Formats: sequence, structure tokens, C-alpha cells
Amino acid sequence: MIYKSPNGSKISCKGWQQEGLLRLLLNCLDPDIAKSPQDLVAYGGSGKVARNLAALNAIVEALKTIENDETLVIQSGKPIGVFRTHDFAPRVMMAGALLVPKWANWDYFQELENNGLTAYGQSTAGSWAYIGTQGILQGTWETFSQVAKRHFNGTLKGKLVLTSGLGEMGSAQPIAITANGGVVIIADVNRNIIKRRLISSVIDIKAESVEEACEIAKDYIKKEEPISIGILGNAADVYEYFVEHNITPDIVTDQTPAHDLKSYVPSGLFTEQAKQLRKKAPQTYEQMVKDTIRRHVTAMIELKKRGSIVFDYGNNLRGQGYKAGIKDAFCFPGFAAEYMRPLFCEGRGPFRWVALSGNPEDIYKTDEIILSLFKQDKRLEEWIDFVQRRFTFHGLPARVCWMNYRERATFGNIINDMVRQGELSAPVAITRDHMDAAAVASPYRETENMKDGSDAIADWPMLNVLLNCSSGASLVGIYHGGGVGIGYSIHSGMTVIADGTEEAKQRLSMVLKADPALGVIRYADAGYEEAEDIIKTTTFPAKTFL
Amino acid sequence: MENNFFREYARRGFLRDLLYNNITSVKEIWELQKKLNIDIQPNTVMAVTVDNYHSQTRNKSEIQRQNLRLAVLKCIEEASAKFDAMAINMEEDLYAVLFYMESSEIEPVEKAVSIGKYLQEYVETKTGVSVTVGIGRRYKDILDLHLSYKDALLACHHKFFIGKSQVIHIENIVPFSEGLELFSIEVESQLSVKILSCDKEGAFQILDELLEDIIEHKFVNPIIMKARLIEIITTIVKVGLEAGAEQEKLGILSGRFVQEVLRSDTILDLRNQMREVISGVIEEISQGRRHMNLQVFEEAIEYINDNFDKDITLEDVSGYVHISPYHFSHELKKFTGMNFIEYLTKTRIKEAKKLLLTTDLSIGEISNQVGYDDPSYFGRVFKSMEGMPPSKFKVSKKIHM
Repeated sequence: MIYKSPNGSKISCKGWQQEGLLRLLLNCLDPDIAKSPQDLVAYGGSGKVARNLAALNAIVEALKTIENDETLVIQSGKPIGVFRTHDFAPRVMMAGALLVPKWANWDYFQELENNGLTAYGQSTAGSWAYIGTQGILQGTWETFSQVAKRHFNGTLKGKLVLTSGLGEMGSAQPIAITANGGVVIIADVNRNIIKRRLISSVIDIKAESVEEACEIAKDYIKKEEPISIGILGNAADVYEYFVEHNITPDIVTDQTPAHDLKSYVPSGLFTEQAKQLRKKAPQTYEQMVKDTIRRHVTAMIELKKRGSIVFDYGNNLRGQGYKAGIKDAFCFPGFAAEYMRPLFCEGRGPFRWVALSGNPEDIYKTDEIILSLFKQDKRLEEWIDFVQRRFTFHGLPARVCWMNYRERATFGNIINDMVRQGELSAPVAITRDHMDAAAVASPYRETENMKDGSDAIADWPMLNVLLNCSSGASLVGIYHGGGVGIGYSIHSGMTVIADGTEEAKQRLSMVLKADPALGVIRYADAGYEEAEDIIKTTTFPAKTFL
Repeated sequence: MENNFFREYARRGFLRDLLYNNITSVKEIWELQKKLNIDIQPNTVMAVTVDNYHSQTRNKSEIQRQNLRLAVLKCIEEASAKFDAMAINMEEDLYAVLFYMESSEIEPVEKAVSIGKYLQEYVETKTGVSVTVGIGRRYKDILDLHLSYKDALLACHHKFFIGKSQVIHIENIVPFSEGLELFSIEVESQLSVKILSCDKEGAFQILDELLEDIIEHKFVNPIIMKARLIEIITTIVKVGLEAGAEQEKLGILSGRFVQEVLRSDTILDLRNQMREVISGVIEEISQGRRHMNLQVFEEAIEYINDNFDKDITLEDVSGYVHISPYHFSHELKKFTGMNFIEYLTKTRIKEAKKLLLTTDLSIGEISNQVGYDDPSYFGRVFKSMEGMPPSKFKVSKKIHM
């Protein structure tokens, strides 16, 4: 069975709220978007859109039949009932992968999942808001743009970034770094991946040795021109080369699969050999991995001491380093706490919208609005220009932009008007990633090292989903384990369908304010002055008790 | 009308730019598509090549070639229209067809091949021109469409082994090996020996064994194989030069065949070209040899002319020109119709006649001067050749004079 979202302006449901959600659901399984549509997996290892095929069919059927005053309730990807609610209530309400904290670990979760009692929805797979790799690209672009802003006057021109890992997530790095004007040397142990990335222009050039890579980099740094240089090699070896040869990059990070030690390739082996050794001698392999991780982290710490900006890119490298015996593995920060937090403080987060028409022109028209509405925002302009050049739409055309709470509400309202006036060829779904200010509690990533120590407080995503529900979101959901795995995060999703109606206008106006504003409150509550300032100095959409 | 005309030119330019990866922005592509009324989103490319174009058109006028190219293009366009594809000509003998493959296609390779077969049969039936179709992978990003074109070209190159008039999908081919251990040095020296001895059939046999070995054991990249064969041509030509073939002729021959080898479409084609080179070189060598025989012969004659007054033998002469007595005798008979003794006698008598008429030397002296020790023997030989004894010859000729 092949799934694809319907498009155009004709609907098969009883209203655009339901139709929009149905299209998003099926779009998550589009063969050009989903990782493994036959298993209902959209992305991220095993992030599913529904528990199983029967559940998926039942959900599709229910969406087609529910009335405009009914709500479909879904428990970990399985529909459990349709309730009479009211027009303004969400059409779909979900909870996914939640476990009572004492039992919240992978082993137990997998047992339950194998017994068909639950399903892992990652983040946006479970809430039907996955749109493909544009989200990853935008997140990475935003990170490096923040690094540039914080340390290098807003540009990476003439700066050298040393990183590694050219997998699905990691391959966004060279694109994002060069888009920010920088020079990057990126290592990977897989010869074929390097070849593939070269063909598809993810990296600009392949160097035959670290030495050659450094020579090329030097040249481009001098010219202040961007270039991405790929090298075949192990991260630990390459980083040590920099230490030994006294070359201190401006920025050092990595995206090797350190979170999964079975995929991390130890020094001295290439991908194929690693695979064999893992099978033949798992204990030797494990020891080799530990040794390599130790060298990898030690080199990064040394480069930090020498002046590089060093950060962990969310793959738990520091955690593994610590386990392998590096006491000060956590001496360099994680990217989310370091670079995303200031954005969260102002209620800025990964906002996205999807043209339900299937017509790219609708997205290009909304791009125009962004460019004229926020023309003082140079970064936004650069992002739109960049993504328009590099990104081909798959499935339903969509756009990702990091926007703050005011921008989201204003923009949502304009989109709804455009739909009403027929400027867009069909309604638009407005949604976001779960990695948003109030939407996630994740002590190893987004909420790591909070000022007040509230890293593990999960009330916020819970409140977030309740608030979005009463504010009129079309879909609300609360989930567990996205990004960092079971036991480590609680997060919420939401979607509103802008169908041009007065009702949608009200939904949008309330949800798009409340959703990010709660995030600002969360950070103000934790003692972040930037967030407090925003509450005090702007016409903040909520009364607060701070 | 005029707009349509210009739009068609713009459309072709746009499609070529897509395939050459000259457009850098997705949005720009989308806007151009809109302006050019292109409503399909191509994600797969087929390359169509005319089989043996160069050898087929070598002796045709440019107008004839043009007609052929346009007829093929027209057919490809007609067939493409049936499955919403767009066709353009890329090079003299190469066309590209851009089309859309559904991501939901369950057997995408089979589907693409069936489209390719339809197109190929359509062109071949309508024009009678044999074509090969190469099909690239489906690339979901429009900026990667040029990769599908590259795939398609690579697939086409595989007709080298598979043969012409094929539909080849990139997913169905075994990648060419890049190995250089192609032919051993021994093969080269064996071939040289066969050529030196002008053994055409033997040389062909070595060539055939060589090519069969390649087909059976390794799918060598044709370009590497051609490069190596060109090296072999160089060796063969060198052998030819050393064996005395004419330098200029060999130069022309090797120049022409290096080009032909490079253009060879299939391994069969290549085999034929190599056979022609071998034949050509062998022909030059044997012609050179014939030429050389004449020279040798002249030297021998000169030696006889200079030494007929001495007691020379067949062995003396053949030894002088380093040829076996038997072979020399054989060649002498072929050129003059006489054997050695007959020729030597003829030469001696001719000289004797001259002396009889122009000098007052005695018969005995003349006999001695033309190489006969015994004057009476000389008299007998003279009489048998001229019908009269030398003394009578002298008197009668002198009276006439």
C-alpha cells in the first residue's frame, strides 16, 4: 500500500479541520518523505504515525466521518473513540508513548510495544507534523547562525568549523555552515557516504588527507569564501591531528552516532570492517569504541582549552565520554542550552506551515509575505533565500521558520486572510516541531542545565497541551521519549488549520499567542532575564504572576 | 505564433540547463517551468543514442546526417508525448528524455524499462535507425536531475558489451570494473610475432581470444579498454615500421583507427576496427617486403654485372645479398624468367657481343674477359645462343655496319 496526501481544493471529510489533519497524516507516509512508509515509520528510527495498519485505516475512516463538533481521541497511535464535544474543540486529541515514570525505560517500553499496547511516535511523526528534511536543515542552519551571532558578529566568514558525521542529520551541517559563510572540515568513516554527499553537493570537495583539508581551508579562510571539505577518517583521529599540529578551529562539534554505540565506528576501522567486528567480537568492539570516544572527547576538550568554541550537538557525546572515564566531559555545553535557549526565551521556535493544496506557489506566496512583513530581519531573509534555492518540495509543500510569539500570531492571521480571499489555492495547516519553548522537557537537550535547576520538570509540556486544547488547536497531543529516547523527554504537539473562516481566525489568534507565550513564561519562571524583559516590555498576551 | 516559437527554443535551453546542472535555485526552476508551460516535474532521465552513428554516417553528407538526426528527434518527441515526457537533442547522436516517475510506483525499474522499450521500438520502427536507451535513477530533488542524466549516459555505455538496440536501466547493470590488469605483455608480443610473420588469421585469433576473455571475466570500463587497445595499435604500428612498412602510410592508418576505436559503440564494432588495423598493418608490411625484394634483386643483378668475368656461382650471389640460394634462384626466375646460369650466360654473351663489335680483341681474349677459361667452350655457348660462332658474328655484323 502506498500512501500519499490528496491535494487540491476538493475534500473528502466533513470540514477542512478534519481534511487538513488527514492530509498531514498521509503526507507523513509519502514515499518521498517517510523513512519506511510500509512500517508506518515517518522518521527518527521508529517514529510511527499510527500503532499499526488497522489503527491507521480506522483513523483515516474516522477523520472522514467525524462531524464538525466531534473529537477523535487517539491513544499511542490507536483510535479509541469519537466524542461529541463542540465546534471549537480540537478534532483530534492524542497521548502517545507515555509511561508512569518508574517504568519509563526503553526495555519496558519495547516490551509493551511488542505486545501491541503502545507505539513510539518520536516527536512530529506521532503528531502528524513531519514534513521531511527541511526541519533538520532549518534547525542546523539556525544553530550555526546563532553561533555566528554570539561569537563572530553574525557571520562565519573566514571561520573554520571542525565537525564529523555525514549521516541524515549530520549532512545538514556543511550546508548550514557554508550558508552562513564559513569553512568546514567534516570527517566521516564511510567512503560511500562521502561519495554520495559529494555527488549531491552536500560537500564541495573531498580532501585526500587532513593535511590537504587544512591547506584548502587555509586558502578559503584567507579569501573569506565558504567551502565544505569532506575527509574520510575517524573523528577522534582527525581531531587529534588538529591538537598535535597546533591548529585551533574556531568552532568544534560533531554529529557521529555517539548516542548509539553500536553505530559508532572506532578508530582503525572503516564501516564494513566495523560491521564484521561488531558481530564477531562484540566485547573487543565495545572496548575499541570506548577508547575512541575517550580520545574523541579529550581532543575536543583540549581544543576548547586552546580557544575553540566547542559544543555537543545533541548526540550525547559528553555522556558517553563521561561513562568512558572523562571526568570533565561536560565542560563544554550542549547546543540546545547554549544556542537555542536565548531564542526560546523570546518565544522563538520552529514554526512551520503546510500548503494543503499541494501547490508550491502557495508556499512561495507566503514566503513573499514573510519577506515583506519581517524585512528588518536579515536572518529570516537569508533563510528564505537559502531554502528557496536549495530545497525541492516533496509531498505537501511546506515551510519552516523560527518565529517568536508575535510574529506567529500576525503571520497566522495573514495566512487565514489569504485563504479567505482565495489568494492561496486551499487552506494551510499551521504547526510546529516539539522542540519549542514550553513544548518540551528534556534534561539532556532543550532543558539541560536550567538556571533554576528545573531541567526535569515536565509540567510545562503538559500545561502547554491543555492550554492549546482550550485555545482551539485543531490537533493536540502529549508524548514521551522524542529525540532523546524513552525516559528522557516529555513533549507536546499542536496543529491549527487555517481554512479562511472566522472560526479559524479565532483559533489561530488564541493558539499562536498562547502556545509560545507559555514558553516565555516557562523561561522567565526559571529566571532568564531576556524572558522577563519580554513579558515586562511588550504587550504580552497573558497576565503573569512573576 | 512567434511566442510559441521562442518558447520552444527557451524550453530546450531550459531542459539542457537542467541536465547540465546549470541552474542553482529550486524556486528559479519552478518559475521557469511556469513561464514555459511545463507542468510536469521531471525526476527521471533517459538517454537515447543512435547506434554506430559515426560509422553509419561516415560517408554521408551533412544534409543526410541532419535529416537522420531530425527524423530521430521527431520520433522521440512523438513517443515521449505519449507518456508526458519531454525530449531534447543533446549531442549529434544523443537525445535526452525527461519524465516523471511516481514515488508510489511499486516496480519503478520495470516500469521505466517498459517506457524505454516503447520509445526504442517506436523510433526503430518509424526510422529504421537502431537506437539504445539508457535509463537513470529517479531523483526526488529537481536539483539532482542531472545525476539521473549521468546515470542514463553510463547505462548507455553498457551497450558496449550487451550490444546495440537495447534498453538498459542503471539499476540493472554491473558497474564496470576499473581494473588495469587488462591484457598481459605476452599477448602483445604474441600478436607482434603474428604480425611480423604476416599471419593475419593467427593475429585475429589472438585478438578474439583477448576480447572473449574480457567479455567473460571482467566488465572493464570501455574507455580503459579502448585506451589499452590504442596502446596495442601503437605497438603494432611500431612492429610494422621495423619490418619496413612505409612510415607515412602507417601514420595515416594508426591516426584513423585510433579515432575509430574511440568511437566504437559496441565490442563487436571494436573487434572489427581492431581487425582492420591488424589487416592494414600486415598489408603494409608485405607490400614493404615486396618492395624490398626488388631492391635485393637489383643488388644481385648489379653484383652479377660487375663480376660476370669471374668464376661466380649462385651461392656467391645469394650470399652477397643475404638470401638463400634456393630463394634467390626462385625470385630470379620470377622476375626474369631465367635461372641463374641462364642469366649469367646471357650477361656474358651480351658483353662478348659488344667486345666483338667494338674491339679488335681475339676470340680467346674476349672469352677470357667475359669469364670463360676455355675459348672453345665459349665458342660453343656463343653459337648455341646466337646461331653462329663468334668469328662469323664479328664479320657479318661488321659488314652490316
